Amino acid sequence: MLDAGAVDPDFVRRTLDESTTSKWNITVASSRAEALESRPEDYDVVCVDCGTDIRSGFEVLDELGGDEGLAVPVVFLACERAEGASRQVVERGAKDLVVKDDTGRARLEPTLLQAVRGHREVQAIRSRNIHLERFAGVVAHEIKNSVGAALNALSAREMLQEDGTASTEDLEGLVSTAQQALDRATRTVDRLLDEASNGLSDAPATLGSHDVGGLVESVAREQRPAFESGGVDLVVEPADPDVEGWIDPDLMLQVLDNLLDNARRFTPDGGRTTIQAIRCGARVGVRVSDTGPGVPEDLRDSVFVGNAWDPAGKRGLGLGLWVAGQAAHRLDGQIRLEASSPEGGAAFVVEVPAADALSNYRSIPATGSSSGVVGTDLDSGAVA
Amino acid sequence: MSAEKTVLLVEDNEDNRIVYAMMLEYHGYKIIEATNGEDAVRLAHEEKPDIILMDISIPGVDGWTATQRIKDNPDSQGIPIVAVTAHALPEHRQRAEQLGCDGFLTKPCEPRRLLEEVQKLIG
Repeated sequence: MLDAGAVDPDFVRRTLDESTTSKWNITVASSRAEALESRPEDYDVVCVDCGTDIRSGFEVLDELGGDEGLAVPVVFLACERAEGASRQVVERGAKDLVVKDDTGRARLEPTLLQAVRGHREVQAIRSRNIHLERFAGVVAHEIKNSVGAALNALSAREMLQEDGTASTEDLEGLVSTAQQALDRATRTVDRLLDEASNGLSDAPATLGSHDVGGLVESVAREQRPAFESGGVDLVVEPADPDVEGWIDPDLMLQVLDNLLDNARRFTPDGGRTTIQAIRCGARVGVRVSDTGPGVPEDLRDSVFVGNAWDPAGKRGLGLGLWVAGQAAHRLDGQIRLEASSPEGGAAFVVEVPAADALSNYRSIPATGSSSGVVGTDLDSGAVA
Repeated sequence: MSAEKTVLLVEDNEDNRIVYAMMLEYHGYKIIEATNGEDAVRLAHEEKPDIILMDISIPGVDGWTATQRIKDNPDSQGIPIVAVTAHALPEHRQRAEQLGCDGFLTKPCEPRRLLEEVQKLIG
């Protein structure tokens, strides 16, 4: 909670400490300066307690937002409900206003949760839109490249044929190059359509408790022939204990299938890809690592938006990783690229909620886990 | 037919590399190839080609940075560079000029157009 001249600085703490549904980590900043210095963006939600002076609260809000607007949902606390105050608060970018009386005490936690949930939904939509825009750009680039190469090959053939200097073999080679380029463009379109129908569906996930270790075994069994034909050793490490995830098994299989497929394509002949179900605190995960070339430092941020480069210097679409990321997101999960891999190549980890760590608010897991700053933090591991 | 002059062809797209290289070879040029910026800078220094055809969107060090490095190096700064890019906006052309590029071609670039540019700059 941010204290900006609050009359009752313990209002949030006393109210949320009594919560029977969630555990809240609460940090109180005792001054405006302290609040602004303490990284409010690391928290799930910030309360601005403006006491009796709503204008001072607006000033804090403006300072918190800076030039780029608020990066965290803010709920206003006031001693009384002034005329038009709620409207003014929302116009300033805050989510809601709660008056510090008995009614407000009952409203506080639902209001905070709603603020967090709404903020995350907006962020998810923004993130998806950004990904889609970048992805569309990459696909357009790929198709333009392939079609352009085909046209170039045919144009060069015509030119060399007019000159009368080229060998028949080279002229045929140019036709073959054009065909290959057009085949690649066709494959790009086919894959895009395929992913659109399979991977980008907005159908609701059917969540339940499932053994992630079993899914790892299943996907490894499916893909093993492809690994063997490419001369790559596929190793399934024993799963950690307690790897039951709260997942949609079909979506999870899609994630694992894409991660393994990606690893196989980047692991050289004679190399090794390793997959393992792991436990990560309140989450379960699967690590897929390989002995390939790894991901160059300057491309680490872009591997999930479909513009990775393969080690031979040809552009790889990376559609699979992008789709896997979208599917993981629908499972309340995420895929991360580890800083280093014991195998020497790339190591991707998909993490999803563990079945035994569910709270009533599992659908809005906390992102800010640090303490000692401003605002309130919802503990994602809380159990009702 | 030109005397055998060397063209450093920096292009990550394999099909384009094949096509441009074949067409230039048939017109008497010797071709060396690079698929990324690091190799382009290294080969410019080691091989001292007569001209560099620089694709801008290449892996690793991009074409702009590679051009900058080549033009910053006294050993290679005299080599004409033609920027080849899918970005046709005026600011890209301006950037190419600022970096000291001697030519600017937009993709898709017809082989004939590429050949004309090479012939114009090095004969």
